[in-house]
Amino acid sequence: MFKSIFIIMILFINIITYIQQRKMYRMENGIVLYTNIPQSFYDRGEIKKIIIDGKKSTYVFFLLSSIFTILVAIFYDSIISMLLDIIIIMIFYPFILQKYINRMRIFINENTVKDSYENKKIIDFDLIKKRDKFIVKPRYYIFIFAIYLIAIILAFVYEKTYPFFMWIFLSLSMMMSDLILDKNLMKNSIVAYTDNSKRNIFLNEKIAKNQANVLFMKSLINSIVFILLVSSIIINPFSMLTFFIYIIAISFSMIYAFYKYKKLRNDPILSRVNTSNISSNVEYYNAWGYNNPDDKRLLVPRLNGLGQDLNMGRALGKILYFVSISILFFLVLVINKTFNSPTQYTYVLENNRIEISSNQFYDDTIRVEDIKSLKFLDKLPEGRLIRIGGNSLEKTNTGNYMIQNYGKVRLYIYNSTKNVVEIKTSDKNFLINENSNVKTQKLYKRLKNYIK
Amino acid sequence: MVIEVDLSSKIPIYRQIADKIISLIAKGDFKAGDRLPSIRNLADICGINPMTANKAYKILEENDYITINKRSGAIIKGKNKISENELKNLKLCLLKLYASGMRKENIKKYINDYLEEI
Repeated sequence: MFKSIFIIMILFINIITYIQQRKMYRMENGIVLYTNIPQSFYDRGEIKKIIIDGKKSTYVFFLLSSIFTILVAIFYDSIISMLLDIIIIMIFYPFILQKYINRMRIFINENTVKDSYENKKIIDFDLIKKRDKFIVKPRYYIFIFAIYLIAIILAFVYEKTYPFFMWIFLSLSMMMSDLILDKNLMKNSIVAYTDNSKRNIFLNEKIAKNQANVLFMKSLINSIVFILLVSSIIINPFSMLTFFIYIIAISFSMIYAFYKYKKLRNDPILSRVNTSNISSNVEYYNAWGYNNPDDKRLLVPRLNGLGQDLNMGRALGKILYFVSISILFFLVLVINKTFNSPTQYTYVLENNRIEISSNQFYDDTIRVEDIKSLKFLDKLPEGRLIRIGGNSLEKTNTGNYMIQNYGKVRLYIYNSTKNVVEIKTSDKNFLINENSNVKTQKLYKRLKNYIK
Repeated sequence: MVIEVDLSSKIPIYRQIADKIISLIAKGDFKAGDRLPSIRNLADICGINPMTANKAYKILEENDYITINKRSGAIIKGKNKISENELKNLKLCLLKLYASGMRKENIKKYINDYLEEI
């Protein structure tokens, strides 16, 4: 189960990356493959061939890498090999893209003189001055913030599963990601469509208003779905259906918002105006981002898509790039250590205390006088097990969990061992065992003798 | 206030931007105290290399059309002192036209037409 979720996740990342890469081969505002194409060249066979070849190579790589991922999952039974697999895939995609960017640029440079570009750039000072007008107003989000606040209060009053701080973290991160996404989307969408300032402001205002509505609706749906999730967890924390419905609803609202947002760009009102407003910066972009040593900016607007690109022409840009890659490898090593090294629980009985330690970030010390009961159980209490905070691995379960009809519990459990020892204290319940039934029985006897 | 920059022109983009801003000042579209967009805004919104925008502003600053302040940005100055250099350039242009055979009346007509356009 754990492994299949991981494979699906990697395949999903691969699909998303493939879709993003395919976008680079689409002509937008006279730009394709980070190259300005003169209008008279749009129908040239050579250009079409480079685009088709590039798309084909990307598709072949996507298929091969997906097969490779499945083979790695079948033959190497470790998470580290799958993580390395996705990192290798991510590293290779830009090389394919760059190959075709180079081909396109060489073709254009060899076949055009500068004069063959008919494109003109429009700079509208009035439009730039009104830039703030076209950004989503934070005041709209007070309403959304109120909904999240209600969710937090509900979770606090009827606290049943996750700790309170977890709800605050979840709702704040949901709200912040919505806010940041919306702000970025609005910021990137200001365009001088015509040589008439009033018309530009009118068009941008109209589009910005519609876009703000779409984005606000998306954030509103997200917050309402979130409050429904909290309510349903309060009613029944063990229902898996709630999570599935939540994930489907959130994905649906995001896809719907992006679809609507994209559609607004193709508004018939814009088809009557000149939308050719090309960037004079195109040649500084490549498959890895942006590279212009003369540009002081560290982050530049992404040419194709939303968000920002790192300026690799600056020393700080390069450092940040390599630091982030190093962090990625470091994380892989940490994850490898956590998931791959065998879990070891040790139970030390000393100084009137039971010290439980694991190499899974969880440790406990139980004072003997706090122990209310000690029981040997043939198996874990019946009911669905849900993780509140902890590491649910293939062979072990460590940390805070909740068991249906039993309640909250701290687990130090080897899944292959059926027997468990239950320790109840005034404020916590513990279920612990060893890596075999015999050893668990011995542990129980040792504990029983110790707390006598 | 819109300016068009021709990317295919042999005149550098920064020169075109500076010249067009000067013409906007001449027409009165930009008045003393008006603020020009920041280099970053110009670069981000219009897809211009910030170095290009920076060069254009530097030209305007050197020719006394704007003052650049780190806090308040680029601000249009009031009436400038007439530069000796500009007058010399104008004289040189007129001499060139006269030397190439254009009659004084025609030169005056062109000058009047250009002034009318402003």
